[in-house]
Amino acid sequence: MIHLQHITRWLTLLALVASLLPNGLVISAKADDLPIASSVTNVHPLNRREQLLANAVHALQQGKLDAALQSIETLLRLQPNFRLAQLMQGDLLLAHAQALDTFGNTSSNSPARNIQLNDLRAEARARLDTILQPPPINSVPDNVLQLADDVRQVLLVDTSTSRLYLFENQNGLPHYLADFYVSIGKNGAIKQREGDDRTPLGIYRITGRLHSHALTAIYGPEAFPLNFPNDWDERLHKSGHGIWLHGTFTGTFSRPPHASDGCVVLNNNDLETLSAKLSPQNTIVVITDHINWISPETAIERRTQFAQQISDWQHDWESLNINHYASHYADDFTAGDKPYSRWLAEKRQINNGKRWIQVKFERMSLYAYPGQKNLYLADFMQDYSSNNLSDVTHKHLYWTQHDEQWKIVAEYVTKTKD
Amino acid sequence: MKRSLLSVALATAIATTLAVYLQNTMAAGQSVGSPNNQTASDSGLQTSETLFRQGQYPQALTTINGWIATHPKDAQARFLKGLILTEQNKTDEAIAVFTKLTEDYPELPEPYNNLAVLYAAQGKYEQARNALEMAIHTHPSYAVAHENLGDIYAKMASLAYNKALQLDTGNTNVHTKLALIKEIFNPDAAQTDCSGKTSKPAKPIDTNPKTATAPSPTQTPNSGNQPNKRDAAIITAVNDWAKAWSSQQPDNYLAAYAPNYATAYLSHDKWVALRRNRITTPKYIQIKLSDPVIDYSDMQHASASFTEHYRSDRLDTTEQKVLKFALIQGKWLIISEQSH
Repeated sequence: MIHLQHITRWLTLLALVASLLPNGLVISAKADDLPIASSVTNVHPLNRREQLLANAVHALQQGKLDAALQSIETLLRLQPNFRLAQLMQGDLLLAHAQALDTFGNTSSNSPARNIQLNDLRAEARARLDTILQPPPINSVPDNVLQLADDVRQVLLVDTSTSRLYLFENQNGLPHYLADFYVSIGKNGAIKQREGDDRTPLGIYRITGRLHSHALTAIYGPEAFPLNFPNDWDERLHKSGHGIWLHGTFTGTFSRPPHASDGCVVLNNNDLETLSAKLSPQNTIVVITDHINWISPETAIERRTQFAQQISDWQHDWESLNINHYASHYADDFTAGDKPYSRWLAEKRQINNGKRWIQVKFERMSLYAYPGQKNLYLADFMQDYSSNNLSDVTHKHLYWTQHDEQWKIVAEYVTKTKD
Repeated sequence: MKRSLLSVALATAIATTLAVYLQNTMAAGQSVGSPNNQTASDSGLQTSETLFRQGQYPQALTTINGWIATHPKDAQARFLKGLILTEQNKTDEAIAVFTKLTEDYPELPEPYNNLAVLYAAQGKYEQARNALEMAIHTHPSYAVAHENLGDIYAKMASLAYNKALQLDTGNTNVHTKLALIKEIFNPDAAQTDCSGKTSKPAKPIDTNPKTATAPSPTQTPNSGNQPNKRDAAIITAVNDWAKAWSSQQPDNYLAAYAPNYATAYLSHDKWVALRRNRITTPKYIQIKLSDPVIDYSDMQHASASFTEHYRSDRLDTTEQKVLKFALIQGKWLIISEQSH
């Protein structure tokens, strides 16, 4: 039971929560317009903790301070060490006694506490922004245009919103399953060099699965190392290693949005939920600083456009016309350490010995590469046959697109896919 | 601060309920249902009340018990008994008296209010809140209950804030040791970008200009407070430790720790060997400390929390560190070291 005079305080608090959100909240004038039940579906049922957090914010939107407090208290019974929930509980309790000046309405002389307070505000901003948006059920991220059959899951990390999306491969396109809050590097994204405490942007594979007995406790129950630096990173002379996907130290539920030395960190509940669904060898990890959500139809249009370029390249290769073949490569193309001119001279030499070439592609995945405009990656198995040589290779072909011109800027080969 | 809030609330509540009680006695006599015809002036109730006001609680209690034996339904007498027990710090008995009153006379707000005050004194804020909400439910304009409810909410809020912002000292203790074990058996791991030495890493300096310009350990340790002698001694100990480390003098460095200093995973000898190696191997070591906060758990134990910037030819890190000191044979020596 709340005294009437406190209504203004609810609104103050609500405005404060709203002010945290980049897009702002629509504050309903009539509480009846916003039934809680309909809002709750915003959060995937896998994520009970964030569902309760969302319930609290929705209750606040309706001016239901007590309902918000109840949701937070339920959440704290489920996850007693969820500091953001503790902070919100503090606000919701204090709102009964006095008007609030700010989100996390407490002050301290201790620098360490103030750092924590600011961290929690940043976490609130990151979490609340996402849980109030509808999940991307009918859209796909524009980074993923085609998934080969052997890719089962895609983990898409958005470093700007502290979010990890789990997709499964359905008919070659990513299908949304769930999303989770994550922490990234202390200094944000775009890793350049060892020790810069940044999270790399790019497309990675999971190279292993480390269980708790092989880990120090700070990584939580499991860790998934990524293949940073990948071939594209090496081309850009990026340095560093040990970029992992991992959990949190026992007793720490959640870390601030920018907290790690470059790893992507989930809380242990989320990590276990994710891990249960994960087939690490068949998982692609895409780390981007911005997601454009597009319709599946648009994704297929872009895929078709990209696939056409690959098909043209294939035919020109098979035609033995070296000039046509070479026209698909950019001037700054390099093959390993070889500059374009030397590479081309070698290709001409090889081509002279060919009477026929046949190239087949299998397990083709197509991506728009994160962190760089107009860069695309084709990842596939190449079955190459010719009169004097045959082999099967796993290939990474990086393309740039300027206007209608598609050019290959880098080509990497590994003998086997895994 | 915690205590003053509660004692004020308690005093206010008791005083107010007593006032309410006296008012009822004078104005309405048996308004809450005393079954007898006797006037208050010559009753045991009146006598007990006088004794209560004189602070003679045992006598007041004996008198009121005698009165209640013959007047079991006298709500005011039972209420007075609750007040006497409260003054005698017989909290559980007082709670029992007030609880029974709320059951027998649910329309009275005062017993709920006093129950709340007693619960609050025991740290049972949820129960206190519920009791006050009942009091307000019976009498929506009952100002004391509103005021107390505000206090309870503020108290609960401050507990929630403390939980939200408390530092992870317990955890980081274990974690530092585990991080160490990894460095020994898996040297590669120590060099990874995400070796994640911390469960709660320090904010980088450049994102927080205030931290960067914060006073050095030789200046005032706590904002607003002048450093006292003991603070100065701790700060000197911290500075000596950092100086020995950065000047790569392992003997001086080790002397900053308690004799036989060890961790859960490293014996004293192994720890010494490891530290000697770590201190002498780099070509250079720079240590910068900022934001010191000194806390004391008692006269012989203190902790210094600060931001530590470590830089060598091989590593450049910033972390929050907590050194725990004990006063051993007149010297403040490090007994535990945690990073987070």
